[in-house]
Formats: sequence, structure tokens, C-alpha cells
Amino acid sequence: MKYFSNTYFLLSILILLSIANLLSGSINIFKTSDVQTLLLELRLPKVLTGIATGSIIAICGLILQILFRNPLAGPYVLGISSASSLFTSIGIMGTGLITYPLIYHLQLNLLSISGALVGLMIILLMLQITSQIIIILLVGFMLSQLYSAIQSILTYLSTEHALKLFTLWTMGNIQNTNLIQSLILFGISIISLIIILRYSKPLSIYITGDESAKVMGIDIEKIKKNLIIITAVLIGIITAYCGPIAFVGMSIPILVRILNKNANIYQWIQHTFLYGSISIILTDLINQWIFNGSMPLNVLISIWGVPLLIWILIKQMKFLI
Amino acid sequence: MFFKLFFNSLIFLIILTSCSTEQKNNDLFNEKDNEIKIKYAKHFGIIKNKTSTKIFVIQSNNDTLFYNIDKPFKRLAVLGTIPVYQLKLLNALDLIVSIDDSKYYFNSEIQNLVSQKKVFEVLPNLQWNYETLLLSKPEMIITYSPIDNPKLSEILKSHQIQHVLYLDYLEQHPLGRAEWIKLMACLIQKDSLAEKIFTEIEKEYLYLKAMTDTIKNRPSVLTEVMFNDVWYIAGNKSYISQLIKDAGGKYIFDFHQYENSKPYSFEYVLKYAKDADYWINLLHFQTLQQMKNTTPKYSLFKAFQEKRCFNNDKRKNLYGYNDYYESGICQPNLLLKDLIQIFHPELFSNQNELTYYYLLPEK
Repeated sequence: MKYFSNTYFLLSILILLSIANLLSGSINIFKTSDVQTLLLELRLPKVLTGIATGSIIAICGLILQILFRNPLAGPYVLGISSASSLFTSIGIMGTGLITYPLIYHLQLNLLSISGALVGLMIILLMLQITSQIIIILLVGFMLSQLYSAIQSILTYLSTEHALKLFTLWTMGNIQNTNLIQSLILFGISIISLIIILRYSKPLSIYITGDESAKVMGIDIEKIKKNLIIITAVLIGIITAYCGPIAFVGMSIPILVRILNKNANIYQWIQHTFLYGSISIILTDLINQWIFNGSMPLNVLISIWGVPLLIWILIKQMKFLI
Repeated sequence: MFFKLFFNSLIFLIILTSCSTEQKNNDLFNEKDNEIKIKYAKHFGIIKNKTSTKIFVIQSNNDTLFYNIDKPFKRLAVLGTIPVYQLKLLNALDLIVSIDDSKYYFNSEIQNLVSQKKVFEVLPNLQWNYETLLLSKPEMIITYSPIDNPKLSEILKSHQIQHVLYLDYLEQHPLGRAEWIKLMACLIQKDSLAEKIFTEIEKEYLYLKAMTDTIKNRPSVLTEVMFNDVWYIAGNKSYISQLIKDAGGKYIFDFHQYENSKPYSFEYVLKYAKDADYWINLLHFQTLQQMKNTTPKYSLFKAFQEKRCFNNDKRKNLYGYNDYYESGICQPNLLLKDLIQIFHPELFSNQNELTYYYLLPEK
């Protein structure tokens, strides 16, 4: 069990899985003459995007869980992903604006980030009104329902083509980026890891309580605000490129906290990054090996991830109590 | 500062996207003398030169896309049941190297080609498999919708795979949809065969239609069923409305002046269609009992009470995909014959077995 809380072990697993992913697919890489196309156009962008997506969504989930002091908090539960999805759905189905491949991602990015920011602003506003976390979570949950309802109206009124495009987007996907986009996403994930690691110290103090943070001279409100904006932008970017990614945002931080029973936030962040990446890369590998790449990412990750997490939670019941 | 930048970017995007996508090429329209006559279809055209062929496809927003066809294409990735079936009619299934997903097809020949690995599936479960697409080495890809997936666009561009948009579903006349076989034939240079096939379909269709032209007693017809508490009603310019009219029926919502379908409530449909004589195209229902179990209020319709409900999924594959939307759409003469036999059995001295439709049994 201790291996699963060892950073180097997890990094090795991620590297091995990534190599396996680069070698797996419908075409046998050892028997094709066009290795360059296969690796540079298709597989490397997918692996880099997978690492970026898993790590960013998981880290955002961890930050939100720490800020809200609740393991239920996550991009999905607080309504941030849903708001981001809603804005994107307005772009795809409501306006017919997204028709040009060249600016497709730019538009999706802007809409998706704006949605995530709006979602977070509402939650921040609620935080000004009440400090009761349960109310914030309930409001986030209810807002998710509201966003979904508006989205349903759009799907109801949209054209068949726009509906298909949106449905495919909601299934989650890591293979629709090119090499440059995937390198940018990978770069963003590394930069966000470095930035968020810088916040590990104030966050370590924050989880001990507001009072101790104040005593230590930490400006909690400023840190909260910065982290929330960073989180919204990151969720928005990933949602634009890969669609709303299920499971990872809430579950990986819980898994990491179970496996690392000490309150070492620095290590939590590192491990969340690695476990998030591993979960996506492993899911894609299972998809290649068993389903020839034909299963939607969100479906597959929930099918194997949720039972595994429930099993771990039951085994570690003591930790929860 | 941030918000100013944000709003400026939004305004810039809106201006950028509001530019027209019209891709009309006036030079091509100057060559109208050579345009091949298309009788019923309104969403494509063919312009022939001595040396080359140009086709154009008109989208729903009236944007026109042009394609130069310099040589017959030998390797096709075809993502749609209609173009695949039209290739079957043209004896050209061997030109297909990949399809979307074999589970959508009733056609056993294409299923066999997939199981023999002569044809690849590139969009299984709506998930693009780019590797399989490249593996199948198509020269051309035919799809129902524009390529708005940037990754796919890049792949098509870098591997010089030409794309053709197949918009047969925009046609409102049954013969218009079948006429798209001429466009398909252009891509593989089998024009004369397509002309012959289409003329036969048209001839039989018009012959059948003529049988009902003078009929005065036109039974009223209701179509479709409720879906998630909503009834999608096709307008009087729709495909099904035309088919019912040509089959000597009276479409109950003939006063709805639009193409395609719009959602209405159950009560609205009941108000107009309570006394309809026939009820056709009943989604997945196979018995009257199933209909009643799902929605007891279906029994309020006269067509239900008098057991005159006909569904069109007599021929469907293991996954429930219906041949009506495959071979039926390509051969509207067969659809029309079925409907005339249902609405006017007296017009046929010998009752033939229906091809796509069947009367729903009680249980």
C-alpha cells in the first residue's frame, strides 16, 4: 500500500502507462511505415492531453475540497462544470456561432472559461452571504440542476447537427487536439502544478482553521480569491478542449487523501496531479485494449473508477469517520 | 481592465463570426449550359465539362459548397446508410473502405464486408477512430454533417482526403432524396447507371401516384408517437406529408406550413387527429398492447380503437435499426406502394405483401 503514496512510484507508473498508450491502438506501430504520423499526429497529442486533463481537473477538485472544507466539493458538485457546459452549449446550440474550425477552440475556450467564472462568482457571492458550507453545497447542487434545465431547453430547440455536436462534446474526449494544442495544455498543467504548489503552505495553515490562519498573518480572502479564479480558468480551458470530465474532479482528491493520511498538502497536490493523469491514461489504455477505442471517456472512467473508489472507501471506513 | 479586454474579445468574435460563409463561385454558375438536369432534388447540382465534373451541394442555410471531380474515386469512407445503400444499387460496394458503425446498417452485404475486415468502422459508438480512418486509406470521405472537428479537418487536409457533404435528408420530396444517387454516381463515374436506376424508380413512383390522383375518398392519416411527452409533428412541406399525399391519403396536419418537425402537446394532437383513419410510423412499437401499456391515452384515437395502426419497422437489424431509413428512402416507389396498399387496398387486384409496413397486432 505504501507504494501508492510514493511520488516516484506513481511517476514511474504514469511514464510506463504513457509509453504503453503510445504503443497501443488500431494500427500496429511496429508494422506501419508511417510511424511519424501515428505518433506525432495521433498518439502523442492524446497522451499529453490525457495527462493535462486528468491532472488539472483532479487538482482543481482538490483545491475546491480544501477551500470548502468538504470532500463533496468538486467542479461538478459546485456547479462550475455545469455552468461551463451551459455556456459552451449556448455557443454550440444556441447561437450557431461555432462553425469555423479555425476559431472553434478559441470560441469554446472563451465561453467555457466565462461559464466557469460565472459559476464560481455565484458560489463566491453565496460565500459572502453565508459561511455555512452545507448551504453552499446545496446551492451549488441546485444551480447545477438549473444549468442542466436551461441546457435541456437548448437541446430541445436545437438542430439535429448542433445536438449531435454537443452530445459528442459532453461524452468527454482527449483525442481531438493536435500536437501544438496538446503541448500547450501539457504546459498549462505543469505551470498550474507549480503555481498551486506555491500555495501549499498557506493551504496547510488554512485547513487548521480560519483563526490559526489569521494568527499566522495569512490573508485568507486573497488566497481564496486567487485560487478560485485559477481553478475556474483551468476548468474552463479543459472543459472547452475535452468536454466535461466526470469522476476525476471529486474522486481523485478523496483517493489521495485516503492514501496519504497525513495532512501534507504539498504531497496531496503532487499525488493528485499524478493520480488524475494516471486515471485518464489508464482509462484510454483500457479503451484501446478492450474496446478498440470505441467507448466514450466519461462512460468508461465511471464504470471502472466508481466501484474501485467505493471499495477503497469501505476498506478505509475508519478514515472517513 | 480584465473585463474590458474580455468584452472587446467577445465583440471581435461576434463580428468575425457574423461574416458570410457563402462560397458561391460565379465562374461555375456561368457554365450552367452544361448543368445536368436534376428533377426533384433541390440541394445538389452537377456541372459537366469535357474534362471534368463539378458538383455543388446547397446547405440548409443556402450556403453552397463546390467540389471538383477530376477522376473517379476508388476508395471511399462513407458515413451514412443512404449513400452506402446507393453505392449498393450502383454495384459499387467494393469501393467502400470504411463506414461509421456497422450496427446502423440493415444491409447484410456491408455487415459481411466489415466482419471480413474489408471495410473498417471509423466512428464506433460515435467515437472517432482516427487510426482506423488512416489505416483504410480513403481518397474521399462522405458525411451527413460538416467536418467541424478541427482534429479531423487537419487529418483530412494533411492526408489529402477530399470531403463531400451528403445532404439527401434536406430534400422534402421522396424522389428528390432518391435522386442523390446521381451525385454519388458522379463521384465514381457511373452516371449512366445512376440515370437508369433513378428513371426506373421515378417511373414506378409516378405510375403508382397516378393511380391515386383521381381518388376522392382520401383517408386522414396521423403519424409518429409521443416522445418524452412531446409529439413531433412534421409540416406540410415534409417528406412524409408528400408521401401520404401521393399515396392518396390526407395528412392530418396538412395546414402546418413548414418543413421538418415541430414539437406539440398530446392534447393538441388529440384535438386534430382523434378521428384520423390511419396511424403510421409508430417508432419501436410492435403491438397495440405495447402502445397502450406505455401511454394508455393512445386508445383515445379512433385509428387505435379500430386497429388501423401501421408501423414501418418490419425490416430491422439486431440493434433495431430500420431498413425503411436505408433501402426504403433510396427506393421511395416501394414506400409509396406500401402506403397505397394500406390506404387503398381496392386499387390492387392482388394484394402483395407489404415491404416495410405491417398492421400492428393486438398483442
